[in-house]
Order: sequence, then structure tokens, then C-alpha cells
Amino acid sequence: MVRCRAFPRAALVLLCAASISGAARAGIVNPNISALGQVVASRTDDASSENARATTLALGETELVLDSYLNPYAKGFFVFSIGGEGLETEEAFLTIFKGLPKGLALKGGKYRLGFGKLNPAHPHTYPFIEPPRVIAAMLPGEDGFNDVGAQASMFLPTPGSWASILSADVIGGSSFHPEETKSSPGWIARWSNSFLIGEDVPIEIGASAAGGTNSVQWETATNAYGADLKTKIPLSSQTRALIQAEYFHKNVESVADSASGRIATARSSGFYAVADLTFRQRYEAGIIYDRYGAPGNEELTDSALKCFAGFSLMEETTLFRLTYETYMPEGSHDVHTVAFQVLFSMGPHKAHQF
Amino acid sequence: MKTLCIWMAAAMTMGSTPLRAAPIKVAASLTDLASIASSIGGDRVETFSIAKSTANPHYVEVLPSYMIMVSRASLYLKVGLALDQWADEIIDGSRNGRLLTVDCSSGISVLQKPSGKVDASMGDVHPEGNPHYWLDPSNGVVIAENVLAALEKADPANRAYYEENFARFKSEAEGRVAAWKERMSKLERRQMIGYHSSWVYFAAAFDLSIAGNVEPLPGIPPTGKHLAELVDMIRKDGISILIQEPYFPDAAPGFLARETGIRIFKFAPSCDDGKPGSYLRHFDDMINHITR
Repeated sequence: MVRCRAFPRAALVLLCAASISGAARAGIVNPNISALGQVVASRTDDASSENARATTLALGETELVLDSYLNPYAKGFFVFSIGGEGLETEEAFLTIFKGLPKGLALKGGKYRLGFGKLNPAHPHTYPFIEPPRVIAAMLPGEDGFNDVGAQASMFLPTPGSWASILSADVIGGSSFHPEETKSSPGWIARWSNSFLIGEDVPIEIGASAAGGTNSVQWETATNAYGADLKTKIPLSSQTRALIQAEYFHKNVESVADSASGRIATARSSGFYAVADLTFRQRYEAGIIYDRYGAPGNEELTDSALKCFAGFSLMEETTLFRLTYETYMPEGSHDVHTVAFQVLFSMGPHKAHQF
Repeated sequence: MKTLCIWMAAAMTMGSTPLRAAPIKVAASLTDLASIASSIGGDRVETFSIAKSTANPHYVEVLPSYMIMVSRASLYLKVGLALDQWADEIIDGSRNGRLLTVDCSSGISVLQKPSGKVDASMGDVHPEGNPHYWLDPSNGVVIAENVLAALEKADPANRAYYEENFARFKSEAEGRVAAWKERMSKLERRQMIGYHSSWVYFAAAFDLSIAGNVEPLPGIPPTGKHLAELVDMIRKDGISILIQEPYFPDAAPGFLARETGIRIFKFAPSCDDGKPGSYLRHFDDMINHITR
């Protein structure tokens, strides 16, 4: 009888201890989880759109982000997007940020590639709803330049607040030839220089280059080059101005004559420039202009002018954004689009990256 | 014999004279932590801080320039209690494997530590408690203890020098806290309003009570209804002090001042810079304004 009564008590103690240690362990190993919803209402007079002159309401891409330390030296990140094409792994990568010599860091997996300033950032972090058209025109990839790869980056020796970072990636290259099943690797390199003017005016100037095969069968190459500039100027304790611009140039090889195998190179270039004012903590307004030439014919240029405004309802977990764009394609009528987005997020506050 | 005497004299003074080597680079999230580190480390340390005194310490943009500066540091002083989560990005981005990170909240009697489940319906509540503890000058001594322990670990050869500086800082802080309390005790009205819940430790240090905040919940902008309630409360209880951080909009405090005549004190939550003495001087300035 005594043994029967003692056993459940001992079992209870063991069970409690196990559940406590399990809970503690779960607290350590559970990753940070963030979810982001982006509802968009839009209206356009684009005659080529099936929704021309109709107001559409859509649940844009929903994002689920998991990140955590893997050990004291490495972090892991997963970004899943849920949209019209179902669940997609937008990013899945690890970084080894500590323990390597000479300030070296390594990154591997699938990630948004560090070409310029806008491409590596997720669109919901932009002050406007859609990225400028020049990004899709000049960089590979449908939803940004995103590929499987491995990156090494290091700080170059510099004085004071000057951070000079050199990075090089070897990538799978499928973003250069998305239609082909055979693969051919590509590469990307970036040199960024950041420094502070005075105590609180950051400036970043960068240069990027990338190359890959646009046709594995013909072994024709696409090479892209870019230069970027970004600064934020505090105008008062509650107001600051962002100025950002990027210039792109690309050379696209293609087979001009399949019989002789003669290869032609089409060159094109473009840029965007954005000015954004954040004021009274929760408000922002700005303008963005982009312009780019058609490959092989710089006379044919498309351009777009976009005005945008944003309001953060409570903190930064609920954002409202309004964008009005005039798209001016060469040789065609202007297209006017207005879009309104509600962006809501839950999960830990992420640090704001410059 | 004469040589021996010189050696003995040198050995006796060794305790208070720092051994010469390159100064230890100390990075800090706030100017307050940097100033305290400068007081304890003296000329053996070079300090710099990330957040500016007039900036909202909850939101600091992670700049590559901060990362490169931290990559050269030996110590990083964090506020902790989930205030400066951005510091983790800077520390990781610095790729500095020999950096010793010090959580300066260690040993602090944390106020407003929530019990039970915490979520965003409660505003921007910090699950580990209110993180603005450096605004109680007595907590400055606790921060100094944490800095002392870290400096002794990083540079044991100059232990005696750091301990001497700590004793001096502690004595000065305790003396000035007593004088500030004496001056603040003469305030007739003991209630105050804050804009954000930054001033809980300041109020507790000087025996003031916070009747309310301009923000209805931490991080949530004021509503008309909430401001109307504050107007009634200020009038009814005769509250005369409102402390506002410079990075918050002036509209709501301005409205309260017009409606009730409450005095607005616009104080940065941190001292001007990370130099020795700045931390305590910040309290001098605030208390001079309030008791004027």
C-alpha cells in the first residue's frame, strides 16, 4: 500500500521535472516567429490589364518568418511566402557571423541577393508598395533577384566609422535562366562603403556586379552592374529625409544567327531615385522616379513617377500606404494606378536596417 | 638601497596608477552607460555610444558604421530588458568573437515586471519589466558595479585603478543623490505625468508618483478620450509636472498645458555624451529645472 502511494508521487515529481526542463528547453530552442499580412486595393487604367478601370481587392503575399541562433556562431532564417502560387520558400539560409578570421562572415542557402540596396530588402520594408519597375527590368528574377548560393564577406581595414564591406557570392544561376532545367552557375560581387558624417548622418555608397548564363544551351551571358547611394538626414528629432538612388547597366548576349552561332549583345541601363520624408514619428511621404531603356535600343525608354504616403496607426505593427503611379511607356499611353495597402505584422520587433 | 626604495615606492603607487597599454575600447548602447564606463575606466578606456541622447532608445537603426566600430571594441554595454534588441544585430554584425557583452540590468530591482501573459494588447510592454532603470541615479551605482566587474575581467592588471575610480564614483553619486532627494522633497505636489513610461525609476528615486502617462499604453499614441481624462485628473489632483522626451510630438502635452497650466519639462532620457561626469550632471540639470 505504501509502495503504491509512493509510486504516483515519485512519478508526478519526475513528470513535473521533465515538463519543466522540456519547457525551459523549448524556450531556448523555439525560433522567433513573425507573420505579415499585406492587403492591397488598387485601380488602374492599364488597357492591357484584365482589371482595367476596376477596383480590385487582394490579399497580397503573406509572409511567415522564422529566425534563431543555431549556436553562438551561426543564425538560421526561413522566409515563407503564401500567395497566389501557394506556399513558397522565399528564403532559407544560415549565416556564420562569428569565429572566423579577419572579420569574415559566410552565408549559404536561398536568399535575396545583395545587388544594390533595394533588392536584398523585403518589399514590405520599402516606404512604397511595389518596387520601382527598373528593378524587374534590369535584374534577373521575377520577384527580385533571389537564388541559391554561398557568400563570403569581409570588412576591409578602414579608420573611424567607415565600414567597407566586400562580398562575393557563387550562385546556382537559375535566376538568369528560369525557363531551363539545366543549370549553370552565376556570380555576384558587392563593395559597400558606409560612414557617418558628423554623429548622425549615415551615407552608404556601393557598387555591385553579377553575371550568369541566360541560355545554357547557347552559353550566352547576362552581366549586370550597379551603383547605389543612400543617406538619411535628420531634420529634427521627429523628422528625417531619406535620399536613395541606384543606377543599373546590363549586357545581355543572345544568338543573333543560330546557323552561324553569331552572338549579339544588347545593352541597356536605368536608374531610380527616391526622396522620402518621415515626420511626426508615424507619417511619411515621398516621391520616386525611375527610368530605363529597352535592351539594345536606348532610344526606347520607359519611365514612371510614383508619389507615396504612409501612416503607422499604432507603433509599426499596422501600416497604411497609399501610392499613385504614372507609368510612361515609350510610344504608348500613360498608365495611371492608385493602390492602397494595409500592412499588419505580429511577432518580435526587428531592428531597423539601414 | 636607494634603488630599492624607488622600486618599493613604485610598487606602492601601482594600485592607483594605471599600467600603460592601449586603452580598452568600450561600446555602449546609451550615452549614460558610456559615461559611467568613462568614470570607472578613466584614461584606461575609450568609450563610444550608439544611441544619441535625444534619440528614442527603443528604435535605433542598425548602421554598418556601428558594426565596424563595435568590431574594434573589447566590451559592449547593453541596457537589456529588451530595450536595445537592436544592439544584438550590431553585435552580431560586428563579427567580433572576442567581444564581452555586459547586460547592465544585472542586479537592478526591476519595476513594472508584468505577471502572466504579455501581448501587444497591452501596448509595447517589455516582458522582463520596465527597462528605463538608468533614470534612477542609485541604479547608476549598480551599472557601475557591472562595468567594474567587466573591466576587471578584461584588464585584470589595472584592477586597483578601476576599483579606486568605482569607489570615487559611488561616493559622489551617493552624496549627490542625497542632495537631490533633499531638494525634491520640498516639492509640494508629489504627482507627475510622463509621456511614455520612461520616468518610473526617476519618480521612484525621488518619491514622486506617476498619476498617468500621455500614452494610454506604452508606445500607443494618445487619444482624445485619454487626454480628456488626463485633463480631469490634472485639474482634480493639482498635478504640476509633465515630463516629455524630445522625440515625442508636442501636440498632446501642449494641449494639456493649455487646458490645465501643467508645466512641461522636455528632458532627454539620456545624458548629452559619454564623458565622465555627464551621467550625474544630467540629473543635476533635470532637478535644477524641476525645483527652479
